[in-house]
Amino acid sequence: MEPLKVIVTGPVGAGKSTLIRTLSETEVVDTDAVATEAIGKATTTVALDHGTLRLDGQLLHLFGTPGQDRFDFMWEILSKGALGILLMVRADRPKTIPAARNILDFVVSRTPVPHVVGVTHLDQPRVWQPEEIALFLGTPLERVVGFDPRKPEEAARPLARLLELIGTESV
Amino acid sequence: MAIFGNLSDMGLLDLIPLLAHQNGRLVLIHKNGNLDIYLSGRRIVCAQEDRRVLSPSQLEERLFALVEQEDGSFEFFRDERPKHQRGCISIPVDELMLKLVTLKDELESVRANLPLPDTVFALANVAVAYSEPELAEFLDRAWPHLTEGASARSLARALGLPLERVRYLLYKLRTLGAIQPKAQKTETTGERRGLAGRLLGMLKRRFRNLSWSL
Repeated sequence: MEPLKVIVTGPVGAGKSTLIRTLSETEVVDTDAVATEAIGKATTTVALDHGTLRLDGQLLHLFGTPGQDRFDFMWEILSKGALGILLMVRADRPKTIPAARNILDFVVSRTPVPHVVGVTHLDQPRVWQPEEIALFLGTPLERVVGFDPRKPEEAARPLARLLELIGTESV
Repeated sequence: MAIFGNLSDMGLLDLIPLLAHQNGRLVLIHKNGNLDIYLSGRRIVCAQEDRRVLSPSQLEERLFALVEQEDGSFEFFRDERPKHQRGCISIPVDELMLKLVTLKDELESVRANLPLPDTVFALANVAVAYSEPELAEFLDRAWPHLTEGASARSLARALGLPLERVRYLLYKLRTLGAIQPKAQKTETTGERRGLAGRLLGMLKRRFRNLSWSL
């Protein structure tokens, strides 16, 4: 069976590595390094995260990209031939939402790959709601999913939405 | 006494006010050529790049690129005048300085949110951009490229403008809705659709508590 890949991208701190760790059935390969900039956490992904999910024999590779835009060349390379792209956005950090739009604009204009947007940190006191983020990103609300990447039953939700959209020709 | 140095040590925004009271020729040597600027009576009266006369807008673009790059060297030759009057201009130095500072400040304030250099944009609701002369002028020049779809990098190359300047103008156009990313047609084959349906079924069985609401 053809191996499939899903690309998980988004600004720094959106929860990309957490999502892959939650979903992966194999040990996650990560490339975290001590952050050299003030990004709100001690370490960050500098190359990529990789995990796998096997669904009845079909192997799904999950690749997480670094969040900084100086790695934009990787987004394009990794996206080639991908089943889909999951853009993750942090609801409680409005500062990173324009950066998410820049990533989405780049991905949409450079790769013919379906995408969904996953909104995280919705449990924080002050957050942008998924529909507000959809409005800012200029993307249909059906492609935007709120979820907690730490919880397995929720972490699969954006992947399910992506498969649903591909399966119903909505992308 | 001579005034000379590197733009990495003394930027243009410091250098030009220093020379504004003097008459003479400021030579800016940068990686793309030599820029000669003649100053007289607190005005720029002539500007040439490799002996080609520059218009005020071309001069502004070149200077802004040098402000951004902070790369190159300079030398000032006191009391030198242009050899002929062809292409004479008259730009108050203070006015030019204010414009350069404003452009730099505007760019700094949004630098983190500028579109990526290789994002491809296409025209959208262009009418809104024509309320601002600077955007209208840029849009007119970029029109043939944006009709097909163009990135900041390709536009900078085609129009001979600094990349950061083009990214800033595209940012403004994107914010106004005058352009939008040119979406690539998604390639989803029938085989992929069938596969997605099967995977979705498996995923639902795997994560039985999966919540489907937004």
